[in-house]
Amino acid sequence: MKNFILRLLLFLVIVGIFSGCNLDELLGNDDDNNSSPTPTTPTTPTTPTTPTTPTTPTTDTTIGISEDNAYLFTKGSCYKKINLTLNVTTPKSIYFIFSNTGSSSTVSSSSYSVSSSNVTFSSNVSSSILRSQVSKYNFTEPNLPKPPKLIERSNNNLLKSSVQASVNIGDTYNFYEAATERTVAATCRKVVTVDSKTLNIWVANDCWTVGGTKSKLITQTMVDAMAEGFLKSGSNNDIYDWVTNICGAEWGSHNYSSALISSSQPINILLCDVGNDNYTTGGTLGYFWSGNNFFKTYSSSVQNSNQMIMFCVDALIYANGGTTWSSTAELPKIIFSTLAHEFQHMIFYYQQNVLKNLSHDTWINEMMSMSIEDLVAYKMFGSYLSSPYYERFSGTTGLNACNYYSLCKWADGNASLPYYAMNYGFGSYLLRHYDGANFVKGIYSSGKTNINAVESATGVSFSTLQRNWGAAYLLSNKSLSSGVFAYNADVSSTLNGVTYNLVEINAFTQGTPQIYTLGNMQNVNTKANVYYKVADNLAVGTYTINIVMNSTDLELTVVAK
Amino acid sequence: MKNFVKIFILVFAFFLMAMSTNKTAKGKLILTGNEPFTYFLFYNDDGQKFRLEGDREAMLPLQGRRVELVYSETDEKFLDPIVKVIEIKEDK
Repeated sequence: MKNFILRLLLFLVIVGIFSGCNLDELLGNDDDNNSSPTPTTPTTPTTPTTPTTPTTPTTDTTIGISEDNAYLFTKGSCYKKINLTLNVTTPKSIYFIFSNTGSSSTVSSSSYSVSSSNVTFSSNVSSSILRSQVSKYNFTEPNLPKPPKLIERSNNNLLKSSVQASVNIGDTYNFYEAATERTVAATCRKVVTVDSKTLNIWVANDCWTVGGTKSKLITQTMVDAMAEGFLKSGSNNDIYDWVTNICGAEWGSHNYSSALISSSQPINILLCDVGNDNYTTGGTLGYFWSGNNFFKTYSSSVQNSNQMIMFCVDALIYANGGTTWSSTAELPKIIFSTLAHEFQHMIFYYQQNVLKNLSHDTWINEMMSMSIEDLVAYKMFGSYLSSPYYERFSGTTGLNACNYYSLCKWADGNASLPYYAMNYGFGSYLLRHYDGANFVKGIYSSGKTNINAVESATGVSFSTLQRNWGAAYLLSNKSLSSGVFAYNADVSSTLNGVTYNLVEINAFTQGTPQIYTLGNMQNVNTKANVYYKVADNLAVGTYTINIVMNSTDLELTVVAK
Repeated sequence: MKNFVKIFILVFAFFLMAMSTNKTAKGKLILTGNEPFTYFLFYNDDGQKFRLEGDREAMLPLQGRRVELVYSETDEKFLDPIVKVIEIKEDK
C-alpha cells in the first residue's frame, strides 16, 4: 500500500512536470529550433480606438468615348464616389470591370453601386451561354470511387536501386502510379539518346497493342512519334530543346545526396491509363510527381518512389487519333501539349524547389506549365490548335464561364479547373505583353514565389496587370494591335536565338464571356474581376453615371467598345 | 531494484509522451506543388517551412493567409519536415 501511494505520488509529479511543456522548454532550449515552427507569442492587448467616420472623397471625371479603349481609375485611399461623365462622340457599348485587388477578403455586392439619371442600364447581357454547355472534351477528373490502395513492392526484372544505369528496349518495370496509388507493369518501347541526353518511353502492358486490355492501345508508330516530338537529333527542333531553352535543365547536381537520386539521369515517360479510368477522351491527361525523384529509403512519404526522373501521360487519349492513327489528330496533339506541360513541372521542381529551396503558390506553377504549352504550340503544330487556348476558354469550367474567379487561389479535384482557366488566361496575356519566353524566364529567375514573382518579371504592379488583363479580355474581339489592352495580335519573343510565336487571342471565339447586368451585382473575390455591361451602343451625347465603392480593395475600369 | 526499473520505465514513457505534445505556431499558409499533388506549406515567422498533413477542406480557404496552427511533429519529411495539423484557424 505504501509503495502504491509512493508510485501514485510519483505519477502525479511526473504528469505535473510534463503536461503542457515540451522537451525544448524543459531543457531550456528555446532558441535555434530548426525542426519546429515558432511557438506562439502571447497576444499583445490592444487599446480600443474610437472609430472614425469615413469621408467620401468624390472624384468628378469626364471620359471622351470615341474608340475601343479602356480607362483605369486610380485607387482612392478610402471610401470612394465617382461622378463619371461620358462624352460619347461615337456610339459605343460601355462595360464596367470591378476588380478586387486586395488579398484578404471578398468584396460584398452590397459594397458598391452604380446609378445614373440619364443612362438606361443594359438589362440584356449575354451571360455566358456556355454555362449550360458541356466542354468539347471532358477534361475533368471523374468522380469515380478511388480504387483500393494497392502498393506492391517492386518485383522487377530490372530494378535494383535504380533502373537508370542502362535501359534497353524490352526491359520491364513495375511502376508505382501515384495518381491512383497502384502498380503498373510496363515495358520499355523506345530509347533515344541525343547529345548525352537519354529518353526512355515506357508503355503499360495493359495499354500495348499486343496483349493490352484497354479500350485504346498504343502501337510502336505512336511511341516513335512521341519520341520524335520530345527528343530528336538537331537543335531547337523538339519539346526538350524548346522548353529547356527557357526553363533550364530538368535535373542535375544538388545538395540532397541522401534524399534525391543522383545527378545524371535519363528522362522517362510512362504511357499508361492515368487514373485507371479507361477513358479515351477525358480524365487526367498526365502528371509529374516529385516523389519519383527521391530514394525510396529516404522517408515513408516516398517509399513507392520509382527513383526516376519521369512523368506520366495518358495512353488511351494519345492512342485515340482516328481510325488510322495520326499524330496530328486533335487528341494526340493535346497529349503532345501535355508533354510540354508536365516537362515544365519537372524542370520547375528541380530549378526552384531543389536548387533554390523555393515553394511557389500552385497557381504560379500551373500558370508556368500552361505558358510553356502556349509558347511551344505554334512550334509543335504550326498553328494554335491544341494549345490551351481552346481547352481553357470554353466549357462550363472554362475562362468565359468562370471569369469572376480569383487569380491567386487553387482548389482540389474538379474544382481546380476554373483556376486552370483563369491562370491560363492571365498567363497568356502576360506572355503577349512581357516578351513571351523572357517572361517565363523572368519568373524563374525572380526568386519570388507568388504575385511578387509576376511583378518582378513584368515590372508592373499585380493590381494593374489584373485590371489591364480584364480590359484586354473584354476588348479581345476588337482590333487593337498595340498597347496594354491588345490581346488579339500575333506576337513573338526570342530567347537565346530561339523565336517563340504566340498567336492572337479572341475570347469571343470560344463562347461568350460571363458579363452581368448592373441589376445583378456580384460579390468580388480577392484578386478577381467581375464584368458588367452598363449600356448597349450608347448614342452620341453626354451622360452621367455615379459610382460608389465602399471598399478600398475595389477598383473600377471602364471599357468602351 | 525492481521498483526502480518500473519507475524508470514510467518516467521514460511520460518523457516520450511529452515529446509528442501538440505545439502551436503562427505563420503563413500556402498551397504549393503541382496538380494532382498539391500540398500545404506553412512558413513560420522565422521563414522555416513545414509541409502540412491534415484536413484539406479546412486549409483550402486559408491559403495565402496568416494562420495559427496546432500541430504535432512526425518523423516524415519530403525535403521539408512534415507535421500533422491538429487545428488551424486564421490569425486575425
